[in-house]
Amino acid sequence: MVFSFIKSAERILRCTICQNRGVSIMAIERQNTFGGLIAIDLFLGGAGAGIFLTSFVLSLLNQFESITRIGVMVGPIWVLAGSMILFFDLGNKNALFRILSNPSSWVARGTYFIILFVFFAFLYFLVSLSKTTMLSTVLGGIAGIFSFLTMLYTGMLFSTMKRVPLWNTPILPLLFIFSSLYAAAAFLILIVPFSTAPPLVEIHLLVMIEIVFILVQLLVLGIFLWTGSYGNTTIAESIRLLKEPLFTIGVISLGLFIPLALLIYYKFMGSGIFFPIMAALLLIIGSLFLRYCIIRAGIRLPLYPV
Amino acid sequence: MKYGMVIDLKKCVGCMACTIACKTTNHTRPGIFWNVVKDLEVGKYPSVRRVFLPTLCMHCEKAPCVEVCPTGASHRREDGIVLIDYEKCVGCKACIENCPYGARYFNGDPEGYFGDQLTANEEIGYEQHKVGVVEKCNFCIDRLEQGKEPACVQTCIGRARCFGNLDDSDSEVSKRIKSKHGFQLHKECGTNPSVYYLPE
Repeated sequence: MVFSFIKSAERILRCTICQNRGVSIMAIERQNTFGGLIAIDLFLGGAGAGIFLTSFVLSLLNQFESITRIGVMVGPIWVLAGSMILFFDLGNKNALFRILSNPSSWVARGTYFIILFVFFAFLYFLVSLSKTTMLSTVLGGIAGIFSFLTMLYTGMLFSTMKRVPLWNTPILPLLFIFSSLYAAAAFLILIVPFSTAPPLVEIHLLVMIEIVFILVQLLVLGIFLWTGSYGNTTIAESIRLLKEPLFTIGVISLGLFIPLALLIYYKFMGSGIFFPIMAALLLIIGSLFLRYCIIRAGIRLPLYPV
Repeated sequence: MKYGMVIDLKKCVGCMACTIACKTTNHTRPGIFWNVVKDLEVGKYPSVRRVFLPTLCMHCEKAPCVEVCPTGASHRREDGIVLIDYEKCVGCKACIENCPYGARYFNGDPEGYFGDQLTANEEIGYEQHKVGVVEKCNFCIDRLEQGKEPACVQTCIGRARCFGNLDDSDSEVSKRIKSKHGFQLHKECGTNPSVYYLPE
């Protein structure tokens, strides 16, 4: 009797869900291949590359020398830390030496980019230790190109995955690139108090750069969610998962809008270093959560046409 | 020569005999199914229906798993069979979410069906499976080399499955595809799978 009641209730529930979404409840399957570790790897890889690129470009413009020196050193270290996480996640480390065998794979391409980026970034750091020369600028430029490709790789790796329609979009790499850039600028704001130059001069310009990055990221995120909401039922289900508090509060509110408000307040009312520091911390955490939420919301393509 | 399979959805009764035959032939670990029959409810309310969908590696002509594999462990032979070289597989798992058919499994747990203590059968069977790599159906390549059909085809009680050469227009598989309007899953992915289905 009780069993029969439960079965009937389950049937009604399933039919209701079918009616609402036009898809069978059994067809929806969340991906479980990638989790939090990969999100941390993507964050460290993307943000590390972004820190180097932002620092190098600012140093070319002769801006913030004291903090860009830290940035060009810390960037590759973050990328290496991310690569270590990826290494520990590999199932068969004995075959690691073969990982560059197929250049058509984004995993192999990413490995190439990371190796070349770290190599040229450290060369640049060593050569430019005493003073900036033509050689150091060329080395920095090459490292800058590979740092951009490293940021691109973190998005491309997921955007080529056919089984998860939410990821399988060319907007995802853009989203990860700007997420890396705003996290990078946030890191530079965080280290301003440790720089030797008067902090207030540097922080005003960095705040402006950060505001631009956040606005572009909001635009890209908006396009990502908007195109997703008009996608097939699988993407729509993923977007529904993104409406959870971790994304709406952790990524969008605390991770983007509140830091934006803090930075704008600082820009126009401008006193005290507390606001930009607070905003930078929130942005870095938000950038990590963004990747985690997008990985977590990956719903697999249903096998059978629905 | 291109090996392929046709599965008649009208004839599949969902008995899962093929799943068991695959398990006993290939000795896959718990949670790993090279061949599995999905029990699906499809359609839109109120026209919802139940479908038994036998799934396995589709041995695609343009296999996304081969493209994404960084080490070249996943490869496609001239006869169309997509294989994984366990020695070359680095276990990065990128192929798992690149396969639109969900045919790939990560073999990450060394435990057997009864925990750490493997049975005598498991000890022998698991020797061919390396922990830390990705696995999938290989069309029972050992059986093919002995001139036999894949275990799932031989065991199917409803004769829903048919295996043969897709390049030969006179083969049973080609005839069934042509006469009964065989279709491929996720044709939009452009993978050209070697496994066809006949409509319910």
